[in-house]
Amino acid sequence: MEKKLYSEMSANVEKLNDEIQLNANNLFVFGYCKASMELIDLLAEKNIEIKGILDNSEDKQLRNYKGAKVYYPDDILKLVPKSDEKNSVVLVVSRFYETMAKQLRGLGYKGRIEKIVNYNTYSDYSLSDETLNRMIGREQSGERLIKELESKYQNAFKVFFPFNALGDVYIAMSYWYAFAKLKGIVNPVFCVPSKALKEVVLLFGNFQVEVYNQENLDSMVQAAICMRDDRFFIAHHDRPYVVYLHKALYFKMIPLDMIYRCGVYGLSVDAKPMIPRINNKVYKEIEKIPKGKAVIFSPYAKSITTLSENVWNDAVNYYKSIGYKCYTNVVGDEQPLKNTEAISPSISEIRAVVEQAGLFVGIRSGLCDVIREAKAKKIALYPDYNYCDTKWKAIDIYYIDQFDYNILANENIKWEIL
Amino acid sequence: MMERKLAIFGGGNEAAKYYTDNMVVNIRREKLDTLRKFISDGKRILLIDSNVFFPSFKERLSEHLESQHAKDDFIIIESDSPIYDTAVRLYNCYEYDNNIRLLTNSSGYASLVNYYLTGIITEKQLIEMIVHGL
Repeated sequence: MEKKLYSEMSANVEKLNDEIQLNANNLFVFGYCKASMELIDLLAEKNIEIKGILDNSEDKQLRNYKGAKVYYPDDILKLVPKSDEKNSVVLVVSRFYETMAKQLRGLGYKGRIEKIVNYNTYSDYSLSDETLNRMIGREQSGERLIKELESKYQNAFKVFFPFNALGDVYIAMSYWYAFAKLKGIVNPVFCVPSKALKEVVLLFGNFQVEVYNQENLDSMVQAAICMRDDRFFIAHHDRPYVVYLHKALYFKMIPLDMIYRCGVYGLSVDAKPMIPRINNKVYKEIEKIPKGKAVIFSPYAKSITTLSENVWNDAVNYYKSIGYKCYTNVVGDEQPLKNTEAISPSISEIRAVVEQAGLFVGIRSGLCDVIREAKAKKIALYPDYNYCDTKWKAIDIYYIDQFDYNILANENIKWEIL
Repeated sequence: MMERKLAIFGGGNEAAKYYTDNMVVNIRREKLDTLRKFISDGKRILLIDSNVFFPSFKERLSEHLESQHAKDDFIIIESDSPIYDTAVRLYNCYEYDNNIRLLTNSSGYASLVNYYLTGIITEKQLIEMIVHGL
């Protein structure tokens, strides 16, 4: 879960707890998914216990998370005595809040149902005039921004990267040339929500790139959807959400790379990704990194659960014991791992930094994509969780061929044999 | 169960006649109300971009709906239908709800159809995903 959403979730839990004392209620979480697990972790930190996890999937019925068993949604009627219904709350952090709420009400559940995170500003399950007017207002604001963009880049093909996600943009850009060739696109302008993403785009060529704040970019994407102009493209596998690419994952494992190649761009299965150019920009302190005798650790990821401190401590201790200098790649207020030095190269510098160090050990995040072509030993660590609400593990979907090791980090890692 | 008539709006004369006979849809408000009514009746709406769908698709979809006894649950609106644009606008307010789906591979974003066209999934799987939401 992204930090912004996590903060929203945390604030909403706090507020609800102040209001109704969650521990005094029969508490359930709807949806056995990664976001729900993060919510349960958060509740556990606050010593708030949940009674169970509700999920429609048969496959998930035997599972449990931190002692909370998975039940079918209609089991809630048996688990909560009618007399106690008023003291019962179902928390939802899934994107399917409306569907879940509708299902529970349909079953006759009368307790509270609380949406803890609002994932998608594009969606509002209301057909009221007020909602429609608001959505149309946003779309019109997006149209104005697109017109401004058009006047700056005349006749350009507009490409939107709707989320601040390094890995998605890296993969999307690696297939850009093949897609542009197929469609005869010669003059693209890329719209991104951060400077870091601009750097990712520029790894692949000297492109025109515009950086927007998230709100403006959202309105432009909304307008692009409504205008149905064939001179734009939203280069994302999940936006707009109605494209339903993820549905195919319910019966087939499709790695993220192939989701972009075939699902997003419609390229053939054997289309080859482009390798980014070697960047000339050099990290100013690169010479201080002992060549081939250092590790760059990357323990932070925006959208996935973190790994336990023990995993990182063990790794740092091992590499220090064999004489490696240990660095932690940090951004903003992130703290370096214990006994390591903080390092903050830019996106265009990180590949050379990893090559200088000789070893990269990171949680599977977008940064792993950015350095996937680096000539160094590379180890990606995966928390043990399922991709969205599918039966596939994150490691199946996000596996990187160019890495020396892709490891499920749910047990003791034998660093000495890697 | 209330009897429901399957309405496939393919544009052209048939659709025009349906609208003329049944409702006035010349102004947007009424188009919107038509769609609201479909949803409140519990219908599921499939917006299909007819430019990109191979001729057999509609036939296969229809056969599948028939075999699942699900014909009455769906309204299929193709891109040449007079209410298509309004419906597309509507789905922006109703994203990822199972009541409305947009199927296209001609406009500017990813599509399940791409999976079919690139051989990742079969036609049968595509239709099952569309109909059952999986």
